[in-house]
Amino acid sequence: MKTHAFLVVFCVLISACQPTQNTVSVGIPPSTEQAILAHVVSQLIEANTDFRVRMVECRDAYDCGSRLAAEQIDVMVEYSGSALMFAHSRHSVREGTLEQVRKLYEPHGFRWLDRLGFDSGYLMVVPSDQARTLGLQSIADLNSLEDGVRITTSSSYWHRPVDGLPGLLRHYGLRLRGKPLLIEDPFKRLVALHQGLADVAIVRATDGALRDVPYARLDDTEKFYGRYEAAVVTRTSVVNSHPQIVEALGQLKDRITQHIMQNLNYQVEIEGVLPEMAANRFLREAKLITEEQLAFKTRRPEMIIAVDEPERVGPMRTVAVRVVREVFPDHRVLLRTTENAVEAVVQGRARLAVIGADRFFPDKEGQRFETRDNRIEAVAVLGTAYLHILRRKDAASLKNVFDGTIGVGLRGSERAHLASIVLRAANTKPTIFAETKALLQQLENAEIDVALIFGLSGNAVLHEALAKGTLTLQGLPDDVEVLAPFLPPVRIPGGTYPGQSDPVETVGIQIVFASPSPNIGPGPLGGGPAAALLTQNPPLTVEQANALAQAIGNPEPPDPILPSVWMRSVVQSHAAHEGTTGQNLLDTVLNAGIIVFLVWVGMLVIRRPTK
Amino acid sequence: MLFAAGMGVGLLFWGVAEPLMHFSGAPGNQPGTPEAARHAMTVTLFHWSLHAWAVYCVSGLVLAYFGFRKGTPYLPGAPLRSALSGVWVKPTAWLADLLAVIAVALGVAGSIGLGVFQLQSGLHVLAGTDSQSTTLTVTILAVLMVCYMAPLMTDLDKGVKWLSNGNMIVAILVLLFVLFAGPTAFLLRTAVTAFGDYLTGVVALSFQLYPFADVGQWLENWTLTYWFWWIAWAPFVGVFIARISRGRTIREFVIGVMVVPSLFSVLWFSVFGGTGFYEELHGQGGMVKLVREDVSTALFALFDRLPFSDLLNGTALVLSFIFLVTSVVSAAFVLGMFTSQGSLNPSVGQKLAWGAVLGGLGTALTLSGNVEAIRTVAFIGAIPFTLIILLQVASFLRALLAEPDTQEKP
Repeated sequence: MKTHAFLVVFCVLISACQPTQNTVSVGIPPSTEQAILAHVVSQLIEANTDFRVRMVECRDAYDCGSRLAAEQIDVMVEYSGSALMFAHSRHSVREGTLEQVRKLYEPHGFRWLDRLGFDSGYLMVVPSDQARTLGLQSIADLNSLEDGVRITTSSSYWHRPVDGLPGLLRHYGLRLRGKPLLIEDPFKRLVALHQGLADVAIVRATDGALRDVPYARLDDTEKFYGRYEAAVVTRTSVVNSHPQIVEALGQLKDRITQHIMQNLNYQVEIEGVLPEMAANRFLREAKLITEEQLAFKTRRPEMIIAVDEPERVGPMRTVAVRVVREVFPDHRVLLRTTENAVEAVVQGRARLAVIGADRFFPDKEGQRFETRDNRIEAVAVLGTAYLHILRRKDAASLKNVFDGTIGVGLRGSERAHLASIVLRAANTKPTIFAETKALLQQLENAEIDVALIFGLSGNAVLHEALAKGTLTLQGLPDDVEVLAPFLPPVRIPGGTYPGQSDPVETVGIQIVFASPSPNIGPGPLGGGPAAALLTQNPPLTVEQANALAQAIGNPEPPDPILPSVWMRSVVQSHAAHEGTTGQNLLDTVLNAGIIVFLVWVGMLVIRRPTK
Repeated sequence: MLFAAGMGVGLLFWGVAEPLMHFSGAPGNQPGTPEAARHAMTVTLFHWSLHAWAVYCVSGLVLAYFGFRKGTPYLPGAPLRSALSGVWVKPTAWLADLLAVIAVALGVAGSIGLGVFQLQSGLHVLAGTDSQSTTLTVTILAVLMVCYMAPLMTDLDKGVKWLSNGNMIVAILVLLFVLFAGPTAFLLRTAVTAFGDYLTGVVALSFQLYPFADVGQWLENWTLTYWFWWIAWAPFVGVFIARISRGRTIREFVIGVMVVPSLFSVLWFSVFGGTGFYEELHGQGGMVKLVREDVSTALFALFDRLPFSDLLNGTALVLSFIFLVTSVVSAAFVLGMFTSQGSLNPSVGQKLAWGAVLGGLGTALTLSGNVEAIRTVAFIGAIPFTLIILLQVASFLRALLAEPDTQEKP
């Protein structure tokens, strides 16, 4: 019995002293997607085998490959297309199925495991409205651009001779206009595209930034793009010596779809989740592991953005989350749908809210926006939603724009509320409440006569609707004065929509980031222990607000009628030394009273009790 | 027992957070500099050491003296009735009893709020629950109420005492663990330096009212709020201190109640605040930022960076919870005493009623979302009671002067 115990202890000691035997090294190239996948692999190995995982950072995918060959790492995640490119195979990359790659690498001691389930191929995208305007459908159509094409891509894509940009240009015979704009971050690449700095952007099909943004991909009609099927790669020797690892990783077969991968990338690229966190969440959701891995609990402060009508934010959702993260890089940024975004900010449940400017003016019956909500401040402008008044062409009327049945946004929604304010100014009321797409449908079918739709100028939905030619965009009649302070007159420039040659006068509403105002009270820093009980969200500083505005790339300042960060410094310096005569008098009286009290208490002590 | 009743959950809540807050915001120093760190420790100790215990000491001493020497009941108004004479004494003494009840009820309700926030943050850290969920807040409050109502119903006085002493021992073990698992040498140096800075600075800080700097708001929000909190708790802690000090001389009493706990405060804040500073200045950093965003996570964030972080975080949660339960149980007991002519055995009904009132107040404060209201409410209880304490001191001195001379004159 004793010997047994001794043996057990001995074995434990031996194994503890030889850590290298039980360690598997996983390579991480510096790309978001591969980093997430490397963590998926490592957590799966740790959960299912007795091996400890060591993560080895590689300079790039090629470096990872050479380290794998040199036995410095044991496992990595790679794409079939990239592997073919590195091997300078005679097979062109576009035929790069996993099967071919597996055959090609097998004799060299590499083993490609099963496919993970997605293809992370390259895409060429253009803003969807531009695709329609210019009639772009395929990559070959880019040849119709007279001065050549402006491309934004990543520097690694620019430097890949075979399957990268040089190859692409040769294949399609495209002419570049100027040097390509090299931007590493896929989100920023799309922003540059949106801002017109480039005509097309090259992205990967699984980029998280693509998730919520309406972009049109150009078809690869001449079959240049290869296949980039992701799979785990290891060495044959590892497979033979550690079959448990292969078995554990076998569970990943076809489990990560394109959609799942894009969501994981979104979490890391846009929301700022750590790759290991995203990997862990995926594994738990897919029921591949049961426990939360506890090794990486570095706490990061959370930055919550409250939205109460996610619809209205639409594609701005991604922009909102991303710009906030840019300004607060060490925060985890979360977008939360709440019942009332303003209250969420006021009560400290969110640091920022995305709201329309009207929310600063609670509209009570009979009141004409006399009160302003000063508990929140406008910090930066995300954009302006324009009022679009649409009628059928055959029933268009310049004078009586609001004749007939009128359709507005869903009942109780902010859009419906705003539309009602406009209609009140024209002495009429909405009749139908429905969603934008339903409204457009009903308008086309002549079920309603007018539709009031709030949206960004030139947005894709209205673009599509107006392109059919049956509808027309109408201006707000001159005699209708919308006296709401948050609905200033704006102009939709001519040519914004198909068939709209003249500018259209209407009203618009700013959509802003709002943060708690210092009026709520100082945060715990200056507010003391009692403030720590409830206010968890300090107001943004002027510098942070500036940085947000810059990150959005929108130079438009918040409307001066809104309480904003910029007004704060002026107001505060005036308020600092304020004190009415009454208050000063009260202070004096109280102080004098307390002095008298103290003297009296002193007397009580000194006067000996008389007996 | 003393510590558990007098500071309890506040120690856990502010141990890491307060020094870091002052590091980046207290007036008098450039934030983030080494001088600011030293000053932050001094200010924290100023809030948590001698002054706090002096308030408790006075309150306890007066009750104990009159209780043991004159046989008066443990009521804040009793010393007044006993030592002073005049028509005004009776109503004033009655007012004193009433104000003590208000001060304790409101003060403890504030602590319930504090504790619930800490628990919610802890659950967020440990179990990933929603840190902002109102439902969870209400659930925690409900569980808390069930847990303290039970000992109030059965006569578990002994059990509660045992629980709170045990809790304090666990807290000390956590303290020792942090001291030895953390940067021990740095922490000991911090403790010595902070102690010295505090000794030299305490007089100056006590009289510092910042007439030449525009920081009146800071002073009111931090220092004065603490003073009023200690005063609000004084009638309640005083009773507990008085009950356990029969047979002590006044000198022993003062040393036992003022000096010993103050030294413990120095050690506690040096270890927890010091570890926070170490992480901020020499470790991974980011602590100050975290504290400024959400004070209640400070302790958990620090534990994350130490070995056995889950165990520590879990322990901190349990400690907070038990501190909270024992505080409320004791407060309900004392309030029951105050409202039954100082009886040492208030009826179960009375204790339950006070338990419910405290729970209700705590819930209202937690859910109201209005900091100004909380501060005003706490002040309403404490400001008038400050005057009562002065009257108590006067009564006490009068009674002492009237004692037959038993000691040699200097």
